Amino acid sequence: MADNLPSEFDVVVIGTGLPESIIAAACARSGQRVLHVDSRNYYGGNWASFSFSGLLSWIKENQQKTDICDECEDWTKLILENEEVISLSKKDKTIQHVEDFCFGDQDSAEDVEEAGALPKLPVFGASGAEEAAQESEKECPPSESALLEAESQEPAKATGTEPAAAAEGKDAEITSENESSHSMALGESTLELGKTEVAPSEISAQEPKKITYSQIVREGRRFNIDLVSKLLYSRGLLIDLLIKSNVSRYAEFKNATRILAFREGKIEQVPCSRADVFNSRQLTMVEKRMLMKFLTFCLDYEQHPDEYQDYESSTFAQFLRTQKLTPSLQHFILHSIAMVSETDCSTLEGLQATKKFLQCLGRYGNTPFLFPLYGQGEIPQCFCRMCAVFGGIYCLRHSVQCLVVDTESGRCKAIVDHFGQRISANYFIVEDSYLSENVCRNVCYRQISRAVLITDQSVLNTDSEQQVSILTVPPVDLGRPAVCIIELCSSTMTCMKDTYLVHLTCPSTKTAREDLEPVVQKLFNLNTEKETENEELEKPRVLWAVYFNMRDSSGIDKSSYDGLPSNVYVCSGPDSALGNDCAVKQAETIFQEMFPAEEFCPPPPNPEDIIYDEDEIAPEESGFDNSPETKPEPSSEESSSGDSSAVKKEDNEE
Amino acid sequence: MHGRLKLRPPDAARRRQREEKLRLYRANMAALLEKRARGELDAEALALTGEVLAANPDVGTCWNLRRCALPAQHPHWVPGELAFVGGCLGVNPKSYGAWHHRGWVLRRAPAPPPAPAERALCDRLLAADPRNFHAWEHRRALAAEEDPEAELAFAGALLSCDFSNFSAWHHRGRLLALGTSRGGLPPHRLRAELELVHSAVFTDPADQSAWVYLRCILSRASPPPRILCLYVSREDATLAVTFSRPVVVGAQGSALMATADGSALDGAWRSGEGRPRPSHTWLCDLPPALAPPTSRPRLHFRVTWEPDPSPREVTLLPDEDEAWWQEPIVAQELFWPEMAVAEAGVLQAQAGTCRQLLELEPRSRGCLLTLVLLLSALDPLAHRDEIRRCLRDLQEADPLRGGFVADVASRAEAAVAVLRMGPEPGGAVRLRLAGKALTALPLLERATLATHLDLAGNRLGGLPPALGGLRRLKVLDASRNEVTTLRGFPPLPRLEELRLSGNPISHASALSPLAACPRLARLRLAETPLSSSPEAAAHLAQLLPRVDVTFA
Repeated sequence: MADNLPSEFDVVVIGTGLPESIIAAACARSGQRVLHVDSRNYYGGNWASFSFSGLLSWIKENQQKTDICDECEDWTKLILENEEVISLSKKDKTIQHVEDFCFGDQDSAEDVEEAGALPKLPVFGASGAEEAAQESEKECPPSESALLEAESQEPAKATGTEPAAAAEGKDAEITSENESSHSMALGESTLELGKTEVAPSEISAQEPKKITYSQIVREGRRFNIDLVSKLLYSRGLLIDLLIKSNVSRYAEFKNATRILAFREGKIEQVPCSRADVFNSRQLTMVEKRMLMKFLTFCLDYEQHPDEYQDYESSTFAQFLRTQKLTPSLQHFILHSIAMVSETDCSTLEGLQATKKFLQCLGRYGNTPFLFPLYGQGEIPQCFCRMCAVFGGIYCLRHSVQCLVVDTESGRCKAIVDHFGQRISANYFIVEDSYLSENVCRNVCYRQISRAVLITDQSVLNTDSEQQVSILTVPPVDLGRPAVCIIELCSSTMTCMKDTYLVHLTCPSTKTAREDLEPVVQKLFNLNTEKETENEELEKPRVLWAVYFNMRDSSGIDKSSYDGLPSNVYVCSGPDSALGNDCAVKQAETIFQEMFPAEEFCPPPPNPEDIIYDEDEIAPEESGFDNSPETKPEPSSEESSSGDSSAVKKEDNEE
Repeated sequence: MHGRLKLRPPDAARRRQREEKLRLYRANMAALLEKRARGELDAEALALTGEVLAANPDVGTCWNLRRCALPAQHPHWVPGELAFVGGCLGVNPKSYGAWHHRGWVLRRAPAPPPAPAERALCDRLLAADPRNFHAWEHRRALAAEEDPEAELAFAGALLSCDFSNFSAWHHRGRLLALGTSRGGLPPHRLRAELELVHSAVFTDPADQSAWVYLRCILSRASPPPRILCLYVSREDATLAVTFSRPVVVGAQGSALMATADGSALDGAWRSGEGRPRPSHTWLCDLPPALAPPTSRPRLHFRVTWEPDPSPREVTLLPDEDEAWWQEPIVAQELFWPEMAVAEAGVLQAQAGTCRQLLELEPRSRGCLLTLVLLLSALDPLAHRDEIRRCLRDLQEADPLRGGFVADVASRAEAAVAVLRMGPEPGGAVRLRLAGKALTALPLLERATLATHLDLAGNRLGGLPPALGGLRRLKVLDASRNEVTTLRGFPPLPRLEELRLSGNPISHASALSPLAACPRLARLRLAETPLSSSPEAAAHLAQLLPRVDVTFA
């Protein structure tokens, strides 16, 4: 099948993380021939989301640290005399210190299978079985953890990777828009699965307060667990890009419903919008006014330099103390609204952060954040889909052996893939984790500490159970980073009914567990049911947890990498910030460097405005109306995908 | 270039859609008008109107044709028609035609439609636009028979999303029967509403909706007009009745009856303003038998006005030239009669809250105005300095509404002056309003007994007809104002001296109404354009032969 890949492209993108996917979409949109590959069997790299069993497989893979055996094909013969080779890394080393814990009774889970492990569509079913076979071949010696033993007794479970990945696995070699409509149907089918399979949740509805581990396993497909925990600022660059490029139609979003603060051992809701302040019962009337007054000032603080210029050299926290704000208001603004450090954030940075937060309010709701349904991992896939619509070719599980560099010009000419095929292109985008240690030896990476918990109730129970909350826990010791917590409810399609998915993120100082466990202990009950003491009863109980460190390769200058040709661009993995601006900025910068004259992701044309027939003169084209695939609604996904496949057919005929 | 899409010029698709829509509309309308001309209002005509309206629910002609055609249809057309209108409202939720048609259909429905369905429609429309007044009005009609608490909660829920919603506040107000009941709100309800308002005004004092609502919940229905004063003068041989509001009596209005010593006075009532309009003061001439030039009989008058059942009485004793009955002035009701007086404690607390907010927001116009109204309602005299200070701040904070603020200030000053008015030795009653920056002259109905009115140094642009109620006025000083003409100046029976120095009166004819004042003897016109005009003196001498006019 590998022989089917064309050997010439304009742009080759290695890695399907967010910035790479945006670049791929932008390139395909501007008419470049794009090949987009990923050595993993799922989209998104470190930006991916997994079902529960998918995450367990991912954990196992990252705990074992075994090298994938080389394909060992003799590709050296493909390299000409005046060419050099830059080898790419075979093994992803960005994830470390993975530790998972189960706080429920695991024994009962031994015989449990994930419900609906395979999609009902026969096409997918067949391919899924094929994948199951492949997976079990790769099965490695049992690990020491009891949990994983239970896992390995159920090899079939490993097939339940992220549904998209499972479906993709069937023809991991090539899926391109014109040859297979499956890649387009892919996103839709996963969405439909999530929506239609309601039946199993009825079981859990009967006893809502006691979720067991076996239930989690059985309902594992209801989880979409993000590796990176981010939210979209509703006026951030990513939202602007999603709207401008019309990629937004591939995704659905939910507003974060509340901002929380952790103060004096208690969790409170932060009133941040005008409606919140009006409705708040915890604030006194004077506090309402003071808070609104300060927030209004922050919205156009540039117009009132006299208010803050005396404090430009002091920290934002000190500046807040000079305003007529009560301690609780200062805490809300510093930690939950500006979300900045108490010790080293200047007044101007704090005002800027506050302004950014406030500007995002009210666009989609009373908080500034949006969360993509089915997880953050949807976003890179949406851009990939856009790329595919405009003719990009996708290969998952497709490793690249090396980059081939012309010694004379110093430019990269081609790649050699794991089948030993040489594919030439003009531009190469490589995600940082694919670069070998040799190239990165001078690069100094930071780390992100992550924890993911499945809990049985929200950290702050209110009348509505379906809340998407963001909580910043200030550091206990000054100078250490604050921990950002995002709690997702089941209506975000990221966890099963009656559970909550809690993401903790902070820049690392030690291992993830050392960084985050103190916070987890403060907010959650880590004991199993029997040992629980009275005071712990009110805290949400953790059912399952995982800690890991992820490499933060953002903000690294290209010159830090050793010996990369000028037409090879490096995309970083996820950063520790809450928003996605960094990835979008990077993608746009790289795209503009490659194609300075091209517009970055312009809106796609209205399907009705596309001219399919060269000879068409009259506005009423008969060929268009007769096409069975197209529908008149310009906004519907079906019509656009149908149209673009029609476009491709046209091209093939020519 | 490879892979480039070939595109039509942008918007071509939309343009074609619009052209298609226009073509359809023209064809349908032409067919429809033809059918109407032939008088064929059948099912086909109905279908044609349906097609046009579904695309554009604002074609009144189609609605009218529909109303003509529908009753001829099969008997159960109402539910289908309601569903059709519902669809049209989806196209344009504020289509007057569609809402009107909906009302028409509902009036013809054999049974009222189920309220939950109707409420669901309102919910949907209000979710899309929380200020859709049609939907609010419809909801209000439904709420009449439903649980008011649920409706209050509904309005509250919309307010909690965004309290800048006059419609939602108004809905609450209507449910609580604000402005229609004579008493105020019950205390527990008032407390809850005040808390809501305070949250809103402290959150955003610049938003006027909550301030307006605050004023509403503190007030009650306007007191109905009533008789404030009876005045009878032997010399003028008239009985004057002053009302709390301008009213019309006699043939066009309510009956006003007066008896003298038991026998009815059958003279016609005339307005004290000298013109047939609603007026504060109405006059009745006494028949010569009652006021003979030679004797001074004791006279007892009794006046009843139809809407105000209690009779008012006044007795003119033989040794008196004049007599009056006057309703005692309640200071708290003078400035803002709609204020619910019973709740002085509540008003004090509100004033305190306003002061607290003003410390944080010294230029909040809603707060300043509310504080002025509250203080004026509590005690205009005691708080006059604070009121003046607030009004000055309000003028600066809200220059766009300068005229309104000046009128409020005039009313406050007038209230203070009225409260300080009282008989002096020698019988003079002075209303002192000099130098108060007045732009209007309110509350004159409370100053009917004044003999001296000092308006010098204000910003009055004219002298109002309401002065006609001042039957005893002898001296009127309106020097240094902005009076250009005396048009509408009422005939004042006792006016002896009028000072108009320093006003921009440039034509002698502007003073012609003064000819109707029988006792006017002195007119001062120094520093007016007239004083430098050579022919003015002659003109005035002709116009006002008995008046001593001074130009210096």
